[in-house]
Amino acid sequence: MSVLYVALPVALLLGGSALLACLACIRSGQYDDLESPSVKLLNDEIKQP
Amino acid sequence: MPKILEEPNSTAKIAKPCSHCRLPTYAHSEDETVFCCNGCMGAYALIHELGLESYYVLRTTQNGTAIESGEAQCSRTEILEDLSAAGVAVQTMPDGMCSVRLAVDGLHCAACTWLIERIQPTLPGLLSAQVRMSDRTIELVYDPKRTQPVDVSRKLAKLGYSLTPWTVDCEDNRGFKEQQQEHLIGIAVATFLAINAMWIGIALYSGESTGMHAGHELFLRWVGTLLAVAAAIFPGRIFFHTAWQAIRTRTPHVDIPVALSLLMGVVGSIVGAARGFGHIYFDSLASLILLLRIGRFIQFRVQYRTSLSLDRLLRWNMVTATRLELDGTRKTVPASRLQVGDRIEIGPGETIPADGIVISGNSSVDTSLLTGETFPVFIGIGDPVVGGTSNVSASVEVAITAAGEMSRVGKLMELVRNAASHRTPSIQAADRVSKWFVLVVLLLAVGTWGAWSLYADVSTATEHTMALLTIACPCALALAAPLVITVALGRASRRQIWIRDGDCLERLATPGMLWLDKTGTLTSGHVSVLEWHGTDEDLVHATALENSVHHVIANAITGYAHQVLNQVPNALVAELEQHLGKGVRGRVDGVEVAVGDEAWMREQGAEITGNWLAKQRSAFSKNRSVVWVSVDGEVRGMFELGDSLRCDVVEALRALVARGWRLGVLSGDRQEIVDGLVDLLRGKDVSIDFAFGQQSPEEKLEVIRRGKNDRNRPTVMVGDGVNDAAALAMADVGIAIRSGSGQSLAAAPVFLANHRLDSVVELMDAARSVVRGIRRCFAASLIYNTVTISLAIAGWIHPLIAAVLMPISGLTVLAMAMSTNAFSERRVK
Repeated sequence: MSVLYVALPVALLLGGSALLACLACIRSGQYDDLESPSVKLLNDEIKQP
Repeated sequence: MPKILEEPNSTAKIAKPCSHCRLPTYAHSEDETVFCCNGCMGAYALIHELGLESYYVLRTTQNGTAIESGEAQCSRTEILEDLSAAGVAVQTMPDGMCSVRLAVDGLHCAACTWLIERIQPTLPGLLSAQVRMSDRTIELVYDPKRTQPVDVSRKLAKLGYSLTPWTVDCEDNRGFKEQQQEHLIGIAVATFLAINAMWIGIALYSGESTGMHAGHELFLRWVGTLLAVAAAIFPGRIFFHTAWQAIRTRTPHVDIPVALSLLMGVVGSIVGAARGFGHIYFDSLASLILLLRIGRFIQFRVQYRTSLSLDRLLRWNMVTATRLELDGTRKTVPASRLQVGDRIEIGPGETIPADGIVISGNSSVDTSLLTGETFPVFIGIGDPVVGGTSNVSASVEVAITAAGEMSRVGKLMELVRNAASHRTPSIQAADRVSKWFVLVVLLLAVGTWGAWSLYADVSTATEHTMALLTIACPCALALAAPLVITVALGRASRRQIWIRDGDCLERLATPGMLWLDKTGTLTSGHVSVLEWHGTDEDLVHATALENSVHHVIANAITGYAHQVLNQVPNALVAELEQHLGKGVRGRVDGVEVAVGDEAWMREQGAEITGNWLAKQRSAFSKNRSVVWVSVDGEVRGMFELGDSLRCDVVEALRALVARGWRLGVLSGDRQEIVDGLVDLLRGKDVSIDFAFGQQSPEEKLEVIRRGKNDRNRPTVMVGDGVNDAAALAMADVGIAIRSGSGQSLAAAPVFLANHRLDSVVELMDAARSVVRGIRRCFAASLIYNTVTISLAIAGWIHPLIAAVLMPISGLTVLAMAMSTNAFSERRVK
């Protein structure tokens, strides 16, 4: 049996788990506000001189 | 405000920006802290008191926008005292803490966000304050036993931000969040599937040239096909869903050809996999779905942002009222909660929230938004007032006779809603073309398959048909128009032109009939001094008197004086006496000065004689009104007052005429005044075809309706007030130009937030380049399809090349759409 039949599903599974992690992030609301974080980043910099 | 600029530092000569707001002012020395006004001094002191000095460093990190006068100054803190009455949804958490989302007005840049969030540690009981820039809202989490949102609101009001109830109801807001998540999830899944399908595709392509084990090839084919079918089922299902709905309701929709092409891709992939040889389609199918989903997401964001900005503008216009309770206390309530019989107090400068009758006090009312009349109307006890107009000079008490939907404004809004629902649905050219395109391609595919299976074998026929179906890309056609329009809308909103409905750009591309409202659109909408007959000394006297009076005419006179005279010296005013509707008198620097109408002059014993009478007649002939000035019982000067043309009008109208538009004026003001204005414009080489005065909102609507039936060319209405709202909604394209009334904003698909008439010209130019851009994309797409389809039918195109060419054609259209120069910076001088 060729290694391809194992490697391909394994690769897909690995990618799929990363996809699931990404979906969990989206569902948790991390991407809900795409504008404010970029602005707040500047604020943090000021706090630590 | 100019007083502070000139008076206290009259000896200071060094020009220096205000330490708080950076408006120019003067200082004694370079390193001195100076302020242009007391407001700035107070804000500066407060910011230092709270230990927030970093604000002054931070605010340079991102460019803000200047606050327009009056925009941020409205403090409505009281409205948050009774949260349920204001319609605010408070969420109580299990630990007893409350959370509430409120809209922040006056939010401009990064520094604002920072400043507002730093309020949290200064208020005990406020657990968190999070600003969301995208929809200009703040989420407060607080301990209801120790603090209330109204305390936060009071504190922020001192910094110049006001909190108002978040009008987009929670349902809608959650809808947005869910939709955005759905889009992102779709893109994530589509990306995963597309990338994996692609590398499997690469393996197959390279295997084809170098030789590959048949079992491996079959395996790769099936896995790739499964990925592509999954892409069509999961991220791709929205296209099938909308297409199916469009078919059921028999309305053409962009998604029908998209869904058809996806379906062909699915069938092609499965057939390819089942046959185990020939050409693969799954990689292009998966990447196509990814590209389509990204396009949809961009479109969704732009539309949401546009509607949010509009919502924000509407919120600025949210009307509140001061209700007098039976026990004599005053309470601020939203206008929507007023009922017949309520007694309300309306201060000077406030908008009258409902129809009613004056029960105490005298004032004047500016009805220009409702009727188009320039001059304020005097009101006294027993006079009716109409909601939507604004109180000008003094506080009055009003008993409400009709509120909400029963008031005149409410009935007008009903008209607006009806007119808006009558708007003919425009069918995008892309839809029409795509529909035919799909039909033609299907017919050609059947023909190709039939012919090739007759002359060759079935397998060759299938191969060529697949090449044809792959290479024929209706998506490029279907995407072109929405893309070009979306790009234009995004650019327009950056230029403060808010377009809610992309279709109207297509409608504006061919010149037609443009109706303009007079007051507030062609003219500035408020009374100003157009001419002064008399000496500078008498002007100073009159200004000194009018300085102490709050009235539109007084404001016009002082404004004029500040404009003509370099410096207005301070004069001592004594024995000031004011008669509403007539005039004022008093002693200025020891002389008796009176300013007022003809009757008022006669009461002062001043006779208007020969020379002055002639001047008065000439002013009347120009439809201007006249205010007299007398000194020691002798007529010394005359003001000519009227509504002045906005400075950009003549140039903008000329540009429109040059582009082939016909112009008409529709005004609620008197016919003579409209005629006078039109004559003035004609004198400046602007051809006006029609001029209708004394138009009620209903009559305006009728004019637009008739114009719409007359010809194919678009009927466009430009207006600002409540009285234009119905006409704006009825017109093919309504353009609201001033944020004077929320009603006109709600009715018009286009809103010029920069209040400039030349933006109309810009809009017309942009509309033309949008249509040209769409046509260019169409032409490119059609040429590509005609050439490649012919080659595919002839059997000259290898399906592999077809699979590569198809995304390229899509990308070309994308690039062409992005390069459309509508509203681009380059076009601005």
